[in-house]
Amino acid sequence: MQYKALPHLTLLTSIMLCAFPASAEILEVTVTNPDGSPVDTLVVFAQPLDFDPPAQVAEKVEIAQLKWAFNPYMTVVQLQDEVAFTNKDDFTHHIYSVSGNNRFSFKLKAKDTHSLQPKLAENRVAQIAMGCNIHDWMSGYILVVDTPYFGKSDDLGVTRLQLEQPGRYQVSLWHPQLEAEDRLLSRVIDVHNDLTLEWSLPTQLEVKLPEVNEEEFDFLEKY
Amino acid sequence: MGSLKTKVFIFFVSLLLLVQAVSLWVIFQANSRQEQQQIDLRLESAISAFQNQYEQRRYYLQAFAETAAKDYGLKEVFDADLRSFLVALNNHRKRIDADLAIAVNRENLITGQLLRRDNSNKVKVGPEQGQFFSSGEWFQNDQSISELYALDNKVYQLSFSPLKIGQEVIGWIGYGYEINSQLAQNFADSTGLSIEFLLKTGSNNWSTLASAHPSMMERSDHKAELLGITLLDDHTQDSYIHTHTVIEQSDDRELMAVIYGSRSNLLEALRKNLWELLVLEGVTILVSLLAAYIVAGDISRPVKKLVKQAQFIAKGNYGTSVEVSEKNELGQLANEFNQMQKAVLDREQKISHQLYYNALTNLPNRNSLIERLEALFSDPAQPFTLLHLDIRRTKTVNDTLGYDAGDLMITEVGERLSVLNDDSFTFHLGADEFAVLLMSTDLDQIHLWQKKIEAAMDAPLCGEETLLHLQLHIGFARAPEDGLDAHQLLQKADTALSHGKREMKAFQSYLPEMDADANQRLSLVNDLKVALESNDQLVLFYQPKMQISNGQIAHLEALIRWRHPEQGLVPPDAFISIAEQTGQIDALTLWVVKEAARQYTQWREQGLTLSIAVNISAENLKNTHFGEELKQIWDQYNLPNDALSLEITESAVVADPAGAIQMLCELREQGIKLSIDDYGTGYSSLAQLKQMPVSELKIDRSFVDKVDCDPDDQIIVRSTIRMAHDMGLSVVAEGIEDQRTLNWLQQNGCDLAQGYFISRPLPAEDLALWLKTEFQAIPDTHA
Repeated sequence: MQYKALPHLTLLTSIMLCAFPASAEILEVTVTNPDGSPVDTLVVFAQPLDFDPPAQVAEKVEIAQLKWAFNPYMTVVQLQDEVAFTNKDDFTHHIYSVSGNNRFSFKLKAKDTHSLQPKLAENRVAQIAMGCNIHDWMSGYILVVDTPYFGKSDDLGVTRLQLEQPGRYQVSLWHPQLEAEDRLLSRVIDVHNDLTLEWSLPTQLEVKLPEVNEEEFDFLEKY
Repeated sequence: MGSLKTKVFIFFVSLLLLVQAVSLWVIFQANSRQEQQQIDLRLESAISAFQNQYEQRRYYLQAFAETAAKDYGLKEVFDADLRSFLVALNNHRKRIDADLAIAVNRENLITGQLLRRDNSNKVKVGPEQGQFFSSGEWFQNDQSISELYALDNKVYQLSFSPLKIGQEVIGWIGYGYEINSQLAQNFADSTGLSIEFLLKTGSNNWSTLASAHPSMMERSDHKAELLGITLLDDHTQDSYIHTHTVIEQSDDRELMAVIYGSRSNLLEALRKNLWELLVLEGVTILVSLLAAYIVAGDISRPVKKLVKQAQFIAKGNYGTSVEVSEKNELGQLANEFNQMQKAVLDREQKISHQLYYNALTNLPNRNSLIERLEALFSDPAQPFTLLHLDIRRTKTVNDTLGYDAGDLMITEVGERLSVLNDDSFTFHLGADEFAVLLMSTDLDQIHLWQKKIEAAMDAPLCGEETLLHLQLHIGFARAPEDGLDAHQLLQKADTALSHGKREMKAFQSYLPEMDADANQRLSLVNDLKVALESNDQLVLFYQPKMQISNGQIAHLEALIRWRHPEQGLVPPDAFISIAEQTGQIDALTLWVVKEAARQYTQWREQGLTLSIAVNISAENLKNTHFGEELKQIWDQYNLPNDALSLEITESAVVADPAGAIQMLCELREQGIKLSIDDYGTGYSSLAQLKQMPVSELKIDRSFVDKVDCDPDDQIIVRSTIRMAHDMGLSVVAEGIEDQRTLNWLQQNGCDLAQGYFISRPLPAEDLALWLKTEFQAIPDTHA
């Protein structure tokens, strides 16, 4: 799994630390399934409630199409970030989305790149489901948030968010296959010091990634 | 028509019909089993056909829904541009001519609903457009699904497929066909069965959704009715075969397909087969009937021969015999038939023999005699004489010694008569009567024959225990002077015989007066009563019994005579039997006893003491008052006990020994002396003799007649006298007609003698006179 966004996030934080010499609090969220197993590759993000999120520098985030798959499967972007679709396969893809106001559709020939800027939905979040009109099984998601505090859980189900100032935050969990309303679980917490949050999901999250059936392309090998 | 041929034919036919009936029954059974199987198979395959058709539609719909759901153009406008989306939705619908197209988004909102307008190819937006989809639970598994969907009183077979972007399900798209008459019609046309789709909403409230009948039925005259609901409830509808299959069943709804067809239509082919079989059976029956007719004829032909022969025999034609060549039962029957014919012939001859011959003696019988007489009368030049013979005392022999002895006697007489048969003919007329024909009317010749017959009968017959004396009465009549035909002559001879019997004559010629006698006899019956009352017609004669030892007379036997005013002197034999037969014997006997008592008293007054013996009849002994009546007479005349004695014939006692002996004992107790008359003719046993309370035996004249010269009679009389004396009885010998006999009797110790040699029976006055002249000394000695 590639985490293109994270180095950028770290850089951003360090800049903010310089501008506002306030103390930085670490929020550590550990997500577990009801059976106690750690939940990895789950997006965790925190939206400050008492103040506006700090201004951001627009970034360019790449989503590659590689071997009949979106890479990465899930991409979290901040509003105003640019998403660049890069076709790393040697055949055409037809990427599309019909999600809310983020409707798009374009064809990407081999090695081509197409960029676009996702929009935010009313609830300060947008979920964009993407598919390929040529390869039905291809599936990818973009989560658009308005906060710089986001991350994905590691193998132990742990996500560490470095918050710049104390206050109330709405902490949310997201995964396209999370069984929840809008696939989001949220809670509001007051952050004053470093905080460790243990979060047990109400239902088991069993992630099924899209699978490519290689056999389907046996007949194409000659071409 | 009960002929054998008919019976055999009917039997064959019945058997045949039975077999055919059984075979038909089996065929019918098999046929109805086949019918049922056919029906079951038909219905099963119909259901299976329907299910296939239904499943095919479902598969088709689902495949199409899946295909449509993958269409990018559709996805592109889904939930965005409603107008474009509905057009896209309809474009897909048109491809498969679906009746319903429906799209549902993630929020369960119906974002598109298109319906085909009734009976047209036009489309309208459905009533649920923009509303919530009521069956959101169908989509839980993100997979294609096929369900029934009810809308506007119609039910659709509907398949949904998820509209996906990658893995993301953004909505559902579904296409459906109505469960309508077209589906039904397809089914009906392909199966030839009617089908109805029934929908149940609520409790047991069925309604017909759609129906169809096979096209050929629609074309037929009678309007096809909807029978589905009826058939579902009522299983007695025999004219239809039916089945049903449940298409969908849920708590509030049930959809069912009822499949049915007219039984007769379905079974038409089978019925046709059956008819062919029946025709075949009919032909078989006809052929078999013909065969049975021929066989019946074969069997009955020899039988007919036998029948014809039987008819021959019935007519008395015994000459021919039947020939049946067959070796079977019928051949045997013909054989038996011929034997039977022989047997019938034999028997007929035997019967005809019996008709003309007596079974006991095998002598020609009365029928033979009549035929013979008629033959003789046909030749007037031939004079002849008919002797009618009757054996004496046959009845007594039968009564005392039994019929075997009687038959023995009759047979013996028959044999002895037939031995004499040179130019005469002997006939056995029945019972103890015989007839002999002599070809002469010369009296000398006849008397010669009488002697011959008497000589032949002379030797006594040795019975098993007894010596039987064969004595005959013979009456005869001569032709042509005594009779002009067979019956007349027979009657005359019979009259002569009867007369001879009455007169105690062994040999009697027919005399014309006898016919008058016979008439007179009749009038005697009435006259006897008058005589008994008149007191001057009846008279007693007296015959003395002489004491052999001293020649004196102290005993008399009273013998009755009837001086008839018109017929003159009537002998006792002529009227005693009449008195016995007409119940006047008691009166007659009492008259005799009274008269004897009066005469005794009268003689007593004259100084003559003569004991008088009176004959009594067997009938008297049956009268229980007889003893009393006698006592009254004794008392009336004040008689000593020995004044009168009673004589009774041995045969009268033998007829009813017990009753007779009882009465005799009663009389004896009154002191009356009793005597056995005609001893030796009644065949009484010594045991009976011993019991009889008598004091005197009178030996029958037949033994005494020739006692001076016949050694056999001598033995009998001598031993009788000795036996009687030993038993304390005195002995009287009757029928003494000469001095030699009297001498012999005297030598052998006989006590009393009676007979013409001593005196005939005399009237009282003559007797007294005779006594006075012959035995003057007697009254003196007694006085």
